[in-house]
Amino acid sequence: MHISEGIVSAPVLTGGAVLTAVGTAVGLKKLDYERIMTSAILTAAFFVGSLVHIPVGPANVHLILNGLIGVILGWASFPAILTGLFMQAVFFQYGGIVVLGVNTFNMAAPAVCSYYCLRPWLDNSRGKQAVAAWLGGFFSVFLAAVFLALSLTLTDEGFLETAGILIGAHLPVMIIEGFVTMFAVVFLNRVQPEILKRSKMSVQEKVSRSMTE
Amino acid sequence: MRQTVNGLSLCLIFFFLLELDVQAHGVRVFAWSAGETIKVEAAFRGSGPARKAKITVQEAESGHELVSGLTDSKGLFQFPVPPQAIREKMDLKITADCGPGHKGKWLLKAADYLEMSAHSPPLPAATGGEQEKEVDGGGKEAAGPEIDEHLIRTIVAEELDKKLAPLKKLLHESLRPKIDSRDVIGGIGWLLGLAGIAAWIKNKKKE
Repeated sequence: MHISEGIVSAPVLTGGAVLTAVGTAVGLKKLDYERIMTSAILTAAFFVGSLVHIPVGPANVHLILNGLIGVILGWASFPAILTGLFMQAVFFQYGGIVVLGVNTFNMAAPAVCSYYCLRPWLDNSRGKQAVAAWLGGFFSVFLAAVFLALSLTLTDEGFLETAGILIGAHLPVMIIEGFVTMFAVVFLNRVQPEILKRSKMSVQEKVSRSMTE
Repeated sequence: MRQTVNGLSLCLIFFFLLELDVQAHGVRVFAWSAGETIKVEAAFRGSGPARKAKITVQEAESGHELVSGLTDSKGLFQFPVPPQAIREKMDLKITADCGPGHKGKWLLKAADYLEMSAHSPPLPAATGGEQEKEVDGGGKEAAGPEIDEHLIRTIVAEELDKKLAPLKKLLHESLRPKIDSRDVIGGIGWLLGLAGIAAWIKNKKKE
């Protein structure tokens, strides 16, 4: 899922870096004090999750966990994934510093998408919540593969063929990631439901705070 | 909040347990010369060999393709040194392509393989025959010194190759950056530290 250095062209690198910068700025603005530790721990999970490999064909694929980060953190996925990828580049030589922008956008944009599409479902009954979480994990990887194919296409390779190969290679990850996200969300809902109902609670908090002030 | 942290830490421990199967996926290419052939090994950073990776051998300067092929199940690929490369003393750029987004390369300098193969080409014909003659004829003095020198060179080169093979292998294993649990723990430490700094800054702003 990480693009190595020296593969994509300069315009793609720049475009990715700009989009990531914008996303990170929005994410940092929306990241409030209480969520900093949650973001850090999810980033740590992202950082370590990439070591869990599923050998498929010539390319190794691994857990990405952008879906889990997305449904919980929303826009804060950008700074979280940016930091995680930076750490992976430095410690594991995954991807690279130059391609950090493109890689971050490819993984964080689907995370934000799944936040907007699936987040409302997470407040529902347990069954619907589990399905929504599974879909979040699945589609975040799916979309990330599509974005990855797109960035390679903008450089030289044919889109449909590349996308086909990438989606095929990541299909097992999509399914596994769906389950990982589902179990994580169900687990969090049991031990700490407020982490998932955050948006609603923060609105209430804001109202009550403004009233007391 | 504390419960959340506990829960997520549990998830992290779970990943640590899974971390046993550590394989990364930057592609590392290593090529070395073994007599008249050049051997290429492609592996993913970490431990896994890159199977069925497409290897392309090009002239480093012009990018002209000389040889291409797929790696075997051990991530190995070998090819005879192209005569053209020996003639023109080309530096070889060897690229391994393991699917979209995964590439690695290695530059094999002309000097690295020419030394080995320079003595080799004339030898198979010369040595094979001469060796038998030596055995049969008991060593005729007239043709002696020059042939002997060739013969000795080949034998020494071959033996050295055999002796050095494990050393080369060891060297190139050590070039393989392994992912250490130290890196993992260090990285997590960094993340928690960054979170602490972020919390501190946000808290200052609040005040």
